Amino acid sequence: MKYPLLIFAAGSFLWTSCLKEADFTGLVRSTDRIEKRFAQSMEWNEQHPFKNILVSGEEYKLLITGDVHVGSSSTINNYLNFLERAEENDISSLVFVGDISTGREKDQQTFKDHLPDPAIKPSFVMIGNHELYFDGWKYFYRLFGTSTYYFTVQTPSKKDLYICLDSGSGTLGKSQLQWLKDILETQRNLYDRCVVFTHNNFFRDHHTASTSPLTDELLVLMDLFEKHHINMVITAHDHKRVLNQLGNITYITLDALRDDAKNATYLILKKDTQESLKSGSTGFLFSFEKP
Amino acid sequence: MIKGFTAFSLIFSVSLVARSQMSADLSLTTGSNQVSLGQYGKLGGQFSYFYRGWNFSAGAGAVFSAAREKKLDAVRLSVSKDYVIKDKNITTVAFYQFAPFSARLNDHAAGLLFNHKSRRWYYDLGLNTRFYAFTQKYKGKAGYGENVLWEPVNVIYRLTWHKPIGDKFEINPSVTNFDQFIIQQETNPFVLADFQYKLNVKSKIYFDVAYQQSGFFNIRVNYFGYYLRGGYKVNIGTIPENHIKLKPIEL
Repeated sequence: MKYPLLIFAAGSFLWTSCLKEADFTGLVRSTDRIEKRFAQSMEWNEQHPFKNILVSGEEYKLLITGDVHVGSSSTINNYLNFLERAEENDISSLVFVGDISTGREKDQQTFKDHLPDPAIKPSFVMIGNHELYFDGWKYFYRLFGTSTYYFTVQTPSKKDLYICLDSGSGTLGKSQLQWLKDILETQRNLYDRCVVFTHNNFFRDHHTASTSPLTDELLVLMDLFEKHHINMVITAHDHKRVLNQLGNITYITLDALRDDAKNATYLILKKDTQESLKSGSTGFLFSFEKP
Repeated sequence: MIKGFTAFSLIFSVSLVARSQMSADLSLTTGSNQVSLGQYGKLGGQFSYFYRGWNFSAGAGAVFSAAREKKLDAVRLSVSKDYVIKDKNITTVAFYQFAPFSARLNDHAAGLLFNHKSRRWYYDLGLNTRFYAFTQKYKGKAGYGENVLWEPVNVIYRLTWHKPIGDKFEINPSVTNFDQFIIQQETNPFVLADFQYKLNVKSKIYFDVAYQQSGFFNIRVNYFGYYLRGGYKVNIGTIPENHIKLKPIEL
Protein backbone atom coordinates (compact mmCIF):
# COMPACT_ATOMS: atom_id res chain seq x y z
CA MET A 1 0.00 0.00 0.00
CA LYS A 2 2.83 2.38 0.81
CA TYR A 3 4.27 2.28 -2.73
CA PRO A 4 1.15 3.54 -4.54
CA LEU A 5 0.91 6.32 -1.94
CA LEU A 6 4.53 7.30 -2.48
CA ILE A 7 4.06 7.28 -6.24
CA PHE A 8 0.93 9.39 -5.88
CA ALA A 9 2.74 11.86 -3.62
CA ALA A 10 5.72 12.13 -5.94
CA GLY A 11 3.43 12.46 -8.96
CA SER A 12 1.39 15.17 -7.27
CA PHE A 13 4.50 17.11 -6.39
CA LEU A 14 5.84 16.92 -9.93
CA TRP A 15 2.45 17.81 -11.36
CA THR A 16 1.94 20.89 -9.23
CA SER A 17 5.51 22.14 -9.48
CA CYS A 18 6.04 21.56 -13.17
CA LEU A 19 2.63 21.91 -14.76
CA LYS A 20 2.89 25.64 -15.02
CA GLU A 21 6.16 25.60 -16.92
CA ALA A 22 6.56 22.22 -18.56
CA ASP A 23 4.70 20.65 -21.43
CA PHE A 24 4.97 16.91 -21.00
CA THR A 25 3.51 16.11 -24.41
CA GLY A 26 7.04 16.17 -25.79
CA LEU A 27 8.27 13.44 -23.48
CA VAL A 28 7.33 10.61 -25.78
CA ARG A 29 7.18 12.21 -29.19
CA SER A 30 7.61 15.82 -30.28
CA THR A 31 5.92 17.20 -33.33
CA ASP A 32 8.32 20.14 -33.51
CA ARG A 33 11.30 18.26 -34.93
CA ILE A 34 14.68 19.90 -35.36
CA GLU A 35 14.85 19.13 -39.08
CA LYS A 36 11.55 20.89 -39.69
CA ARG A 37 12.60 23.91 -37.64
CA PHE A 38 15.89 24.08 -39.47
CA ALA A 39 14.15 23.98 -42.87
CA GLN A 40 11.77 26.76 -41.81
CA SER A 41 14.68 28.78 -40.43
CA MET A 42 16.55 28.52 -43.71
CA GLU A 43 13.44 29.69 -45.58
CA TRP A 44 13.25 32.68 -43.24
CA ASN A 45 16.97 33.36 -43.64
CA GLU A 46 16.56 33.53 -47.41
CA GLN A 47 14.10 36.38 -47.01
CA HIS A 48 16.00 38.09 -44.21
CA PRO A 49 19.76 38.51 -44.75
CA PHE A 50 22.04 37.98 -41.78
CA LYS A 51 22.71 41.18 -39.86
CA ASN A 52 26.02 42.99 -39.88
CA ILE A 53 26.51 45.43 -37.01
CA LEU A 54 28.86 48.30 -37.70
CA VAL A 55 30.72 49.77 -34.77
CA SER A 56 32.84 52.89 -34.86
CA GLY A 57 35.76 51.68 -32.71
CA GLU A 58 37.89 48.55 -32.59
CA GLU A 59 36.33 47.60 -29.25
CA TYR A 60 32.68 46.84 -28.59
CA LYS A 61 30.49 45.09 -26.05
CA LEU A 62 27.68 42.55 -26.29
CA LEU A 63 25.23 42.03 -23.46
CA ILE A 64 24.39 38.32 -23.19
CA THR A 65 21.92 36.38 -21.06
CA GLY A 66 19.86 33.22 -21.01
CA ASP A 67 16.93 31.63 -19.22
CA VAL A 68 14.83 34.75 -18.73
CA HIS A 69 11.70 32.56 -18.52
CA VAL A 70 9.14 35.34 -18.93
CA GLY A 71 5.82 34.06 -17.58
CA SER A 72 7.34 31.71 -15.02
CA SER A 73 6.87 34.20 -12.22
CA SER A 74 4.67 37.24 -11.80
CA THR A 75 7.52 39.71 -12.24
CA ILE A 76 10.24 40.30 -14.84
CA ASN A 77 12.40 42.70 -12.84
CA ASN A 78 15.71 41.07 -13.77
CA TYR A 79 14.79 41.24 -17.43
CA LEU A 80 13.82 44.90 -17.15
CA ASN A 81 17.06 45.71 -15.32
CA PHE A 82 19.01 43.90 -18.02
CA LEU A 83 17.26 45.98 -20.68
CA GLU A 84 18.02 49.13 -18.73
CA ARG A 85 21.72 48.23 -18.76
CA ALA A 86 21.44 47.59 -22.49
CA GLU A 87 20.33 51.17 -23.07
CA GLU A 88 23.78 52.44 -22.22
CA ASN A 89 25.89 53.53 -25.15
CA ASP A 90 28.71 51.05 -24.66
CA ILE A 91 26.48 48.11 -25.61
CA SER A 92 26.32 47.22 -29.30
CA SER A 93 23.67 44.52 -29.18
CA LEU A 94 21.85 42.00 -27.00
CA VAL A 95 22.01 38.23 -27.17
CA PHE A 96 19.49 35.87 -25.55
CA VAL A 97 20.68 32.26 -25.39
CA GLY A 98 17.28 30.56 -25.23
CA ASP A 99 14.47 29.92 -22.75
CA ILE A 100 13.22 33.48 -23.06
CA SER A 101 9.76 32.49 -21.83
CA THR A 102 7.45 29.64 -20.88
CA GLY A 103 6.83 29.08 -24.59
CA ARG A 104 3.26 30.33 -24.37
CA GLU A 105 2.30 32.91 -26.99
CA LYS A 106 1.53 35.67 -24.50
CA ASP A 107 4.85 35.22 -22.71
CA GLN A 108 6.88 35.25 -25.92
CA GLN A 109 4.93 38.35 -26.95
CA THR A 110 5.64 40.04 -23.59
CA PHE A 111 9.32 39.27 -24.02
CA LYS A 112 9.35 40.77 -27.50
CA ASP A 113 7.33 43.84 -26.49
CA HIS A 114 10.08 44.89 -24.08
CA LEU A 115 12.98 44.52 -26.52
CA PRO A 116 14.64 47.75 -27.67
CA ASP A 117 14.08 49.10 -31.17
CA PRO A 118 16.20 46.80 -33.40
CA ALA A 119 17.26 49.76 -35.53
CA ILE A 120 18.93 51.28 -32.46
CA LYS A 121 19.99 48.20 -30.50
CA PRO A 122 19.70 44.86 -32.30
CA SER A 123 18.69 41.78 -30.31
CA PHE A 124 19.57 38.22 -31.25
CA VAL A 125 17.24 35.63 -29.79
CA MET A 126 17.85 31.91 -29.72
CA ILE A 127 15.39 29.14 -29.08
CA GLY A 128 15.55 27.01 -25.93
CA ASN A 129 13.59 23.92 -25.02
CA HIS A 130 10.94 26.06 -23.30
CA GLU A 131 10.18 27.86 -26.56
CA LEU A 132 9.05 24.47 -27.88
CA TYR A 133 6.51 23.90 -25.11
CA PHE A 134 2.83 24.65 -25.61
CA ASP A 135 3.27 24.71 -29.39
CA GLY A 136 5.76 27.52 -28.82
CA TRP A 137 7.79 27.13 -32.01
CA LYS A 138 4.83 28.44 -34.02
CA TYR A 139 4.89 31.68 -32.02
CA PHE A 140 8.68 31.91 -31.92
CA TYR A 141 8.77 31.60 -35.70
CA ARG A 142 6.16 34.30 -36.11
CA LEU A 143 7.78 36.69 -33.63
CA PHE A 144 11.49 36.07 -34.18
CA GLY A 145 11.75 34.00 -37.34
CA THR A 146 14.79 31.84 -37.56
CA SER A 147 16.31 29.62 -34.88
CA THR A 148 19.59 29.04 -36.80
CA TYR A 149 21.54 31.99 -38.13
CA TYR A 150 24.61 34.10 -37.68
CA PHE A 151 25.40 37.76 -37.32
CA THR A 152 28.59 39.70 -37.72
CA VAL A 153 30.12 42.71 -36.00
CA GLN A 154 32.35 44.91 -38.08
CA THR A 155 34.90 47.28 -36.59
CA PRO A 156 36.96 49.65 -38.78
CA SER A 157 39.59 46.96 -39.34
CA LYS A 158 38.13 43.57 -38.35
CA LYS A 159 34.99 41.53 -38.63
CA ASP A 160 33.79 38.94 -36.09
CA LEU A 161 31.40 36.05 -36.59
CA TYR A 162 28.66 35.03 -34.12
CA ILE A 163 26.86 31.77 -34.84
CA CYS A 164 23.50 31.04 -33.18
CA LEU A 165 22.34 27.42 -33.09
CA ASP A 166 19.10 25.64 -32.19
CA SER A 167 19.59 22.90 -29.56
CA GLY A 168 16.06 22.95 -28.16
CA SER A 169 15.56 19.28 -29.00
CA GLY A 170 18.86 18.21 -27.45
CA THR A 171 20.54 17.75 -30.82
CA LEU A 172 21.48 20.05 -33.67
CA GLY A 173 20.29 17.43 -36.14
CA LYS A 174 21.99 16.41 -39.38
CA SER A 175 21.08 19.42 -41.49
CA GLN A 176 21.98 22.08 -38.95
CA LEU A 177 25.27 20.34 -38.23
CA GLN A 178 26.06 20.30 -41.95
CA TRP A 179 25.13 24.00 -42.18
CA LEU A 180 27.49 24.74 -39.30
CA LYS A 181 30.29 22.76 -40.93
CA ASP A 182 29.75 24.57 -44.23
CA ILE A 183 29.82 27.99 -42.57
CA LEU A 184 33.03 27.15 -40.73
CA GLU A 185 34.68 25.60 -43.80
CA THR A 186 33.85 28.43 -46.16
CA GLN A 187 33.67 31.52 -43.98
CA ARG A 188 35.60 31.13 -40.76
CA ASN A 189 38.82 32.40 -42.28
CA LEU A 190 37.11 35.62 -43.37
CA TYR A 191 36.63 36.68 -39.75
CA ASP A 192 38.85 37.62 -36.87
CA ARG A 193 37.03 36.06 -33.91
CA CYS A 194 34.22 33.53 -33.81
CA VAL A 195 31.77 32.83 -31.00
CA VAL A 196 29.12 30.09 -31.00
CA PHE A 197 25.89 30.43 -29.01
CA THR A 198 23.43 27.65 -28.29
CA HIS A 199 21.00 26.97 -25.47
CA ASN A 200 21.96 23.52 -24.15
CA ASN A 201 24.99 23.44 -21.89
CA PHE A 202 27.75 21.16 -23.15
CA PHE A 203 29.31 19.71 -20.03
CA ARG A 204 28.31 18.08 -16.79
CA ASP A 205 30.38 20.14 -14.39
CA HIS A 206 28.18 19.06 -11.52
CA HIS A 207 25.32 16.66 -11.01
CA THR A 208 22.40 18.15 -12.91
CA ALA A 209 19.23 17.20 -14.75
CA SER A 210 20.05 19.57 -17.60
CA THR A 211 20.31 17.89 -20.97
CA SER A 212 23.62 18.05 -22.77
CA PRO A 213 24.24 16.92 -26.35
CA LEU A 214 24.83 13.17 -26.51
CA THR A 215 28.52 12.36 -26.19
CA ASP A 216 28.69 11.38 -29.89
CA GLU A 217 27.54 14.87 -30.85
CA LEU A 218 29.54 16.62 -28.15
CA LEU A 219 32.79 15.10 -29.44
CA VAL A 220 31.94 16.07 -33.02
CA LEU A 221 31.25 19.66 -31.97
CA MET A 222 34.30 20.01 -29.72
CA ASP A 223 36.51 18.66 -32.48
CA LEU A 224 34.89 20.92 -35.09
CA PHE A 225 35.31 23.99 -32.90
CA GLU A 226 38.94 23.20 -32.24
CA LYS A 227 39.61 22.54 -35.92
CA HIS A 228 38.16 25.93 -36.90
CA HIS A 229 39.64 27.97 -34.08
CA ILE A 230 36.41 28.98 -32.43
CA ASN A 231 37.17 31.38 -29.59
CA MET A 232 34.19 30.97 -27.30
CA VAL A 233 31.15 28.75 -26.91
CA ILE A 234 28.38 30.31 -24.83
CA THR A 235 25.46 28.24 -23.55
CA ALA A 236 22.75 28.49 -20.88
CA HIS A 237 20.07 25.97 -19.80
CA ASP A 238 21.68 24.79 -16.57
CA HIS A 239 20.98 28.05 -14.67
CA LYS A 240 24.40 27.86 -13.06
CA ARG A 241 27.46 29.68 -14.30
CA VAL A 242 30.45 27.53 -15.24
CA LEU A 243 33.62 28.33 -17.14
CA ASN A 244 35.61 25.64 -18.89
CA GLN A 245 38.72 25.88 -20.98
CA LEU A 246 40.06 23.38 -23.46
CA GLY A 247 42.92 24.57 -25.62
CA ASN A 248 42.16 28.12 -26.69
CA ILE A 249 38.39 27.73 -26.47
CA THR A 250 36.51 29.15 -23.50
CA TYR A 251 33.21 27.38 -22.82
CA ILE A 252 30.76 29.41 -20.73
CA THR A 253 27.49 28.25 -19.23
CA LEU A 254 25.44 31.24 -18.12
CA ASP A 255 23.46 31.85 -14.96
CA ALA A 256 19.72 32.22 -15.40
CA LEU A 257 18.18 35.69 -15.47
CA ARG A 258 14.73 34.65 -14.25
CA ASP A 259 13.48 36.51 -11.21
CA ASP A 260 13.54 33.52 -8.88
CA ALA A 261 17.12 32.56 -9.78
CA LYS A 262 19.31 32.70 -6.68
CA ASN A 263 22.40 33.99 -8.46
CA ALA A 264 21.04 35.78 -11.49
CA THR A 265 23.73 37.42 -13.61
CA TYR A 266 24.27 38.38 -17.22
CA LEU A 267 27.44 38.43 -19.26
CA ILE A 268 29.19 41.43 -20.71
CA LEU A 269 31.45 40.35 -23.53
CA LYS A 270 33.97 42.93 -24.66
CA LYS A 271 36.05 42.68 -27.81
CA ASP A 272 39.35 44.02 -26.56
CA THR A 273 42.26 45.16 -28.69
CA GLN A 274 44.92 44.47 -26.05
CA GLU A 275 43.50 41.01 -25.39
CA SER A 276 43.47 40.30 -29.11
CA LEU A 277 47.22 40.81 -29.27
CA LYS A 278 47.92 38.09 -26.72
CA SER A 279 48.84 34.70 -28.10
CA GLY A 280 46.15 32.07 -27.53
CA SER A 281 43.67 34.60 -26.18
CA THR A 282 40.01 34.57 -27.14
CA GLY A 283 40.34 38.28 -27.95
CA PHE A 284 37.58 39.05 -25.48
CA LEU A 285 37.32 40.24 -21.92
CA PHE A 286 34.22 39.21 -20.06
CA SER A 287 32.53 39.89 -16.76
CA PHE A 288 29.29 38.97 -15.04
CA GLU A 289 26.95 41.57 -13.59
CA LYS A 290 23.93 41.22 -11.35
CA PRO A 291 20.69 42.65 -12.76
CA MET B 1 45.62 2.56 -31.76
CA ILE B 2 48.84 0.59 -31.34
CA LYS B 3 48.69 1.00 -27.55
CA GLY B 4 45.12 -0.30 -27.50
CA PHE B 5 45.84 -3.35 -29.54
CA THR B 6 48.97 -4.08 -27.49
CA ALA B 7 46.87 -4.20 -24.31
CA PHE B 8 44.24 -6.20 -26.14
CA SER B 9 46.82 -8.70 -27.45
CA LEU B 10 48.40 -9.04 -24.03
CA ILE B 11 45.15 -10.04 -22.37
CA PHE B 12 44.33 -12.29 -25.29
CA SER B 13 47.72 -14.04 -25.01
CA VAL B 14 47.33 -14.52 -21.26
CA SER B 15 43.87 -15.91 -21.86
CA LEU B 16 45.19 -18.36 -24.44
CA VAL B 17 47.83 -19.63 -22.03
CA ALA B 18 45.15 -20.21 -19.44
CA ARG B 19 42.81 -21.61 -22.02
CA SER B 20 40.56 -23.32 -19.56
CA GLN B 21 39.71 -19.93 -18.06
CA MET B 22 39.18 -17.95 -21.19
CA SER B 23 36.03 -16.47 -22.57
CA ALA B 24 35.40 -14.34 -25.61
CA ASP B 25 32.77 -12.16 -27.18
CA LEU B 26 32.90 -10.91 -30.76
CA SER B 27 30.33 -8.60 -32.29
CA LEU B 28 29.47 -6.63 -35.41
CA THR B 29 27.48 -3.42 -35.14
CA THR B 30 25.92 -1.16 -37.71
CA GLY B 31 23.91 1.99 -37.15
CA SER B 32 23.30 5.57 -38.01
CA ASN B 33 22.82 8.75 -36.05
CA GLN B 34 22.62 12.52 -36.39
CA VAL B 35 26.40 12.93 -36.49
CA SER B 36 27.60 9.74 -38.20
CA LEU B 37 27.44 11.03 -41.80
CA GLY B 38 25.62 7.91 -42.98
CA GLN B 39 25.83 4.31 -41.91
CA TYR B 40 28.69 3.24 -39.67
CA GLY B 41 30.09 -0.17 -38.86
CA LYS B 42 31.88 -1.42 -35.77
CA LEU B 43 33.75 -4.55 -34.95
CA GLY B 44 34.04 -5.28 -31.24
CA GLY B 45 35.75 -7.91 -29.18
CA GLN B 46 36.17 -8.63 -25.53
CA PHE B 47 38.24 -11.28 -23.85
CA SER B 48 38.02 -12.22 -20.21
CA TYR B 49 40.21 -14.12 -17.86
CA PHE B 50 38.92 -15.56 -14.65
CA TYR B 51 41.33 -15.95 -11.74
CA ARG B 52 40.51 -16.70 -8.10
CA GLY B 53 37.13 -15.01 -8.14
CA TRP B 54 38.30 -12.02 -10.14
CA ASN B 55 37.35 -11.40 -13.73
CA PHE B 56 39.79 -9.38 -15.84
CA SER B 57 38.51 -8.18 -19.19
CA ALA B 58 39.92 -6.29 -22.11
CA GLY B 59 37.82 -5.07 -24.98
CA ALA B 60 38.54 -3.13 -28.12
CA GLY B 61 36.56 -1.98 -31.10
CA ALA B 62 37.24 -0.79 -34.62
CA VAL B 63 34.95 1.76 -36.22
CA PHE B 64 34.29 2.40 -39.90
CA SER B 65 32.54 5.72 -40.22
CA ALA B 66 32.82 8.78 -42.44
CA ALA B 67 32.65 10.89 -39.29
CA ARG B 68 35.61 9.31 -37.55
CA GLU B 69 39.23 9.96 -38.45
CA LYS B 70 40.51 7.12 -36.29
CA LYS B 71 39.70 3.46 -36.89
CA LEU B 72 40.08 2.51 -33.23
CA ASP B 73 36.70 3.08 -31.61
CA ALA B 74 37.77 2.48 -28.02
CA VAL B 75 39.73 0.28 -25.68
CA ARG B 76 38.34 -0.74 -22.34
CA LEU B 77 39.87 -2.56 -19.42
CA SER B 78 37.73 -3.80 -16.58
CA VAL B 79 37.96 -5.90 -13.49
CA SER B 80 35.01 -7.36 -11.65
CA LYS B 81 34.28 -9.40 -8.57
CA ASP B 82 31.15 -10.95 -7.13
CA TYR B 83 30.07 -10.48 -3.54
CA VAL B 84 27.20 -11.77 -1.46
CA ILE B 85 25.61 -9.05 0.65
CA LYS B 86 22.62 -10.09 2.75
CA ASP B 87 21.95 -13.12 0.56
CA LYS B 88 22.06 -11.00 -2.58
CA ASN B 89 24.68 -11.44 -5.29
CA ILE B 90 26.28 -8.13 -6.16
CA THR B 91 28.84 -7.78 -8.91
CA THR B 92 31.22 -4.84 -8.74
CA VAL B 93 32.92 -3.71 -11.93
CA ALA B 94 35.67 -1.10 -12.19
CA PHE B 95 36.55 0.06 -15.69
CA TYR B 96 38.62 2.45 -17.72
CA GLN B 97 37.86 3.35 -21.29
CA PHE B 98 39.92 5.25 -23.83
CA ALA B 99 38.41 6.47 -27.09
CA PRO B 100 40.61 8.30 -29.58
CA PHE B 101 37.97 10.43 -31.27
CA SER B 102 40.06 12.28 -33.82
CA ALA B 103 43.57 13.42 -34.67
CA ARG B 104 42.99 16.16 -32.09
CA LEU B 105 40.72 14.85 -29.38
CA ASN B 106 40.71 11.90 -26.98
CA ASP B 107 37.93 10.83 -24.64
CA HIS B 108 38.79 9.07 -21.36
CA ALA B 109 36.30 7.61 -18.90
CA ALA B 110 36.57 5.53 -15.76
CA GLY B 111 33.91 4.26 -13.45
CA LEU B 112 32.51 1.87 -10.93
CA LEU B 113 29.37 -0.16 -11.52
CA PHE B 114 27.27 -2.39 -9.29
CA ASN B 115 25.03 -5.09 -10.67
CA HIS B 116 22.35 -7.20 -9.07
CA LYS B 117 20.21 -9.78 -10.80
CA SER B 118 16.86 -10.93 -9.53
CA ARG B 119 14.75 -13.55 -11.27
CA ARG B 120 13.12 -11.14 -13.70
CA TRP B 121 15.03 -7.88 -13.30
CA TYR B 122 18.68 -6.91 -13.67
CA TYR B 123 19.80 -3.71 -11.97
CA ASP B 124 22.98 -1.80 -12.80
CA LEU B 125 23.95 1.41 -11.08
CA GLY B 126 27.25 3.24 -10.94
CA LEU B 127 29.24 6.38 -11.42
CA ASN B 128 31.74 7.44 -13.98
CA THR B 129 34.09 10.33 -14.45
CA ARG B 130 35.28 11.60 -17.80
CA PHE B 131 37.82 13.89 -19.31
CA TYR B 132 38.46 15.22 -22.75
CA ALA B 133 42.05 15.86 -23.75
CA PHE B 134 44.07 16.63 -26.83
CA THR B 135 46.38 14.06 -28.36
CA GLN B 136 50.10 14.49 -27.59
CA LYS B 137 50.83 15.07 -31.25
CA TYR B 138 48.20 17.77 -31.57
CA LYS B 139 49.26 19.46 -28.33
CA GLY B 140 52.78 19.77 -29.71
CA LYS B 141 51.53 21.12 -33.01
CA ALA B 142 49.15 23.64 -31.44
CA GLY B 143 51.58 24.65 -28.72
CA TYR B 144 49.20 23.66 -25.94
CA GLY B 145 50.38 22.72 -22.46
CA GLU B 146 48.66 20.18 -20.24
CA ASN B 147 44.97 20.95 -20.39
CA VAL B 148 42.00 18.65 -19.97
CA LEU B 149 38.31 19.28 -19.59
CA TRP B 150 36.99 17.21 -16.74
CA GLU B 151 33.43 16.12 -16.05
CA PRO B 152 33.66 14.92 -12.44
CA VAL B 153 30.63 12.71 -12.03
CA ASN B 154 27.90 11.08 -14.06
CA VAL B 155 25.46 8.37 -13.04
CA ILE B 156 25.36 5.25 -15.20
CA TYR B 157 22.38 2.95 -14.96
CA ARG B 158 20.56 0.12 -16.62
CA LEU B 159 17.28 -1.53 -15.80
CA THR B 160 16.71 -4.80 -17.64
CA TRP B 161 13.70 -7.05 -17.76
CA HIS B 162 14.84 -10.61 -18.17
CA LYS B 163 12.53 -13.02 -19.92
CA PRO B 164 13.70 -16.58 -20.71
CA ILE B 165 11.65 -18.43 -23.30
CA GLY B 166 12.24 -22.15 -23.02
CA ASP B 167 15.75 -23.39 -22.31
CA LYS B 168 17.53 -21.70 -25.17
CA PHE B 169 16.04 -18.30 -25.86
CA GLU B 170 15.87 -15.14 -23.79
CA ILE B 171 14.83 -11.53 -24.27
CA ASN B 172 16.37 -8.69 -22.25
CA PRO B 173 14.96 -5.23 -22.96
CA SER B 174 16.71 -2.40 -21.09
CA VAL B 175 16.61 1.29 -20.41
CA THR B 176 20.16 2.47 -19.99
CA ASN B 177 22.74 5.16 -20.66
CA PHE B 178 25.69 2.86 -21.34
CA ASP B 179 26.60 0.03 -23.65
CA GLN B 180 29.57 -1.33 -25.57
CA PHE B 181 32.08 1.56 -25.63
CA ILE B 182 29.22 4.02 -25.11
CA ILE B 183 28.78 6.04 -21.94
CA GLN B 184 26.11 8.70 -22.30
CA GLN B 185 25.27 11.40 -19.81
CA GLU B 186 22.62 10.33 -17.31
CA THR B 187 20.18 12.71 -19.05
CA ASN B 188 20.43 10.80 -22.31
CA PRO B 189 18.84 7.39 -21.76
CA PHE B 190 18.19 4.99 -24.61
CA VAL B 191 16.37 1.72 -25.04
CA LEU B 192 18.06 -1.50 -25.97
CA ALA B 193 16.49 -4.88 -26.73
CA ASP B 194 18.74 -7.91 -26.45
CA PHE B 195 17.83 -11.33 -27.84
CA GLN B 196 20.01 -14.31 -26.96
CA TYR B 197 19.99 -17.87 -28.22
CA LYS B 198 21.99 -20.56 -26.46
CA LEU B 199 23.74 -22.76 -29.00
CA ASN B 200 25.07 -25.14 -26.35
CA VAL B 201 26.16 -24.95 -22.72
CA LYS B 202 29.22 -22.90 -23.61
CA SER B 203 28.20 -20.56 -26.39
CA LYS B 204 25.49 -18.13 -27.36
CA ILE B 205 24.61 -15.89 -30.24
CA TYR B 206 22.86 -12.61 -29.64
CA PHE B 207 21.21 -9.77 -31.47
CA ASP B 208 20.70 -6.28 -30.05
CA VAL B 209 18.64 -3.35 -31.26
CA ALA B 210 19.11 0.11 -29.74
CA TYR B 211 17.09 3.27 -30.23
CA GLN B 212 18.71 6.54 -29.13
CA GLN B 213 16.94 9.81 -28.62
CA SER B 214 17.98 13.29 -27.60
CA GLY B 215 16.21 15.84 -25.46
CA PHE B 216 14.47 13.49 -23.04
CA PHE B 217 15.23 15.75 -20.10
CA ASN B 218 14.37 18.76 -22.27
CA ILE B 219 10.91 17.17 -22.43
CA ARG B 220 11.27 17.52 -26.19
CA VAL B 221 12.50 14.24 -27.56
CA ASN B 222 14.00 13.98 -30.98
CA TYR B 223 15.25 10.88 -32.79
CA PHE B 224 19.01 10.65 -32.50
CA GLY B 225 20.01 7.28 -33.89
CA TYR B 226 19.83 3.51 -33.84
CA TYR B 227 22.15 0.58 -34.05
CA LEU B 228 21.93 -3.16 -34.60
CA ARG B 229 24.46 -5.60 -33.24
CA GLY B 230 24.99 -9.29 -33.76
CA GLY B 231 27.49 -11.28 -31.75
CA TYR B 232 28.81 -14.57 -30.59
CA LYS B 233 30.09 -15.36 -27.13
CA VAL B 234 31.85 -18.44 -26.00
CA ASN B 235 33.06 -19.73 -22.71
CA ILE B 236 35.93 -22.18 -23.00
CA GLY B 237 36.61 -24.00 -19.78
CA THR B 238 35.13 -24.20 -16.37
CA ILE B 239 34.11 -20.67 -15.52
CA PRO B 240 30.97 -20.69 -13.39
CA GLU B 241 28.06 -19.13 -15.25
CA ASN B 242 27.58 -16.29 -12.77
CA HIS B 243 31.15 -15.12 -13.34
CA ILE B 244 30.83 -14.64 -17.05
CA LYS B 245 30.86 -10.93 -17.89
CA LEU B 246 31.50 -11.46 -21.53
CA LYS B 247 28.92 -9.55 -23.37
CA PRO B 248 30.16 -6.01 -23.90
CA ILE B 249 26.94 -4.52 -22.61
CA GLU B 250 27.67 -6.24 -19.33
CA LEU B 251 30.98 -4.37 -19.20
